[in-house]
Amino acid sequence: MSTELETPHELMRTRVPRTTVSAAADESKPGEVLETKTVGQVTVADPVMTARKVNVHYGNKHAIKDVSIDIGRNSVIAFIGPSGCGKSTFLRCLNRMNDTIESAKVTGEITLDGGDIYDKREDVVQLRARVGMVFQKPNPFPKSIYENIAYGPRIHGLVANRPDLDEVVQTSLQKAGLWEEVKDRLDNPGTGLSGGQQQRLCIARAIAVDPEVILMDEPCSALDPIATARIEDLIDELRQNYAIVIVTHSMQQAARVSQRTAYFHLGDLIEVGATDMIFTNPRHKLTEDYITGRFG
Amino acid sequence: MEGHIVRTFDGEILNLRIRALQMGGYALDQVQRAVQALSDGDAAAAANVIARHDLVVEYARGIEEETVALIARRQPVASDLTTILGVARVATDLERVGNAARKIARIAIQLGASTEDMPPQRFYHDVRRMARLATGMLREALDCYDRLDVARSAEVIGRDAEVDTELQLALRELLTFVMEDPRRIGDMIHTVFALKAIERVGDHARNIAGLVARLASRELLEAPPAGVTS
Repeated sequence: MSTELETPHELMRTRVPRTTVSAAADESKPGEVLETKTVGQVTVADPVMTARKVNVHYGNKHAIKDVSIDIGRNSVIAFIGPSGCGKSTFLRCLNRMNDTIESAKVTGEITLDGGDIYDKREDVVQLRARVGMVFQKPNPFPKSIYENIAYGPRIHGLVANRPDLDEVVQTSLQKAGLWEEVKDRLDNPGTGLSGGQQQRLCIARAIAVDPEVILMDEPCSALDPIATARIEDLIDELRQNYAIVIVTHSMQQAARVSQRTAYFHLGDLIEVGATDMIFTNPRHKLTEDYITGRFG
Repeated sequence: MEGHIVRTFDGEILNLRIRALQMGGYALDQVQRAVQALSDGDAAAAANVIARHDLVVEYARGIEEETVALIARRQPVASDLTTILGVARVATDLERVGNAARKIARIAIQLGASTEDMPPQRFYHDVRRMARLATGMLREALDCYDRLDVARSAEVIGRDAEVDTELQLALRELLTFVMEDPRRIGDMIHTVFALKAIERVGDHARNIAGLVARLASRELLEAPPAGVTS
């Protein structure tokens, strides 16, 4: 089969519309009506972030093509797709991480709470506090556990004194489910923790600056199944307070943790929908072929 | 549809479907043998049908085991999940077809023992006619399932009403026989149970035909439409 995507609509199947509405589908109740080539509902009511006609070029390579999608509050959206499909690139647009790559050029509009994050007046450091990020490999600072968490609140001026800082460190570690394991050794180096603990430390570090959105780029790919399960459990808890965007190569993980799923293919956003819908009855043939393991 | 990257998975799904179709052929044969035994008053043939029922159970158990193993091993989603669950549903209906055949065989044995003289052949005229209709439906339904032929499956579903009408007619006719010869009332009751079992075969054929449309439209993972019984 050719994986070159030309006309997504030609590949769409005609289906009898579903009559049942699932709980997850309800979360993606429609927002504004948008003209896109993406199959499914890309908008949601009251989004925390919106992306409109986003394009990314790395030199001559067109990595993201006219992608429009909303990120909903208090829910998890998973980005899936084969390697090189642009899901990580798009994720990195959401907190301007691509700014650090010289050859990358981002066009289109991305907003956070209605404000354009690519506006010249936007403070990128501030933005990355509001849109936190957790990476594939846990990357704690080579400092103590305490300092790993305290660093962000301190430089952003979120705390006035040491007791306040202590409290932020404790609540962040508690929210990340790490407090009980490390409360007696906060002065030990963060790098001395196990992989799963390090990743939760990084999540705690992101939470400490009170973000609105947490981006996770394959946060479990370097972890064993037990540590992965703990992170997934944590993601489910965190969505009570944050919007979470997760890039994952594990389709089972996407199915387990997310309420919405977006499928990327060669820089196009092919399909977006309620996760249970995507994994039981995808509407686009490429989505179907990918999730059933027919290419990837 | 193009094959999976893991090619053995294609083979596993194909084998599962083939097993369901083989089971269908076997269950169909069981019904035909049971009705023949009833009609001939052949207790030995009926006992043979009952003995052969073990294989129906074995087919059902094997398909269930393989289904669970495939789900655990491959974690199928979307069309793969639909296909695998579809086989499980077909197997459930076929097991019940097998049960109906066994029931008819048991009745054949009871009828043979109940009176010294055989009930008149006209007693079984309706049984044979209904069995022809119901087994015809089942054969067609299995063929539609094999080919995912939605148009023809709709036709099969429509024929279920014919079997229901036949049942009503047969009941009336049996009633007139009994009015003429009240000593036959025991035979009549047994025969009614046999007719009812045959009617159930038609219902299961209708279920399988109904499944075809839902498999093709990929709506299987949703709640079944109203009126579909199992």
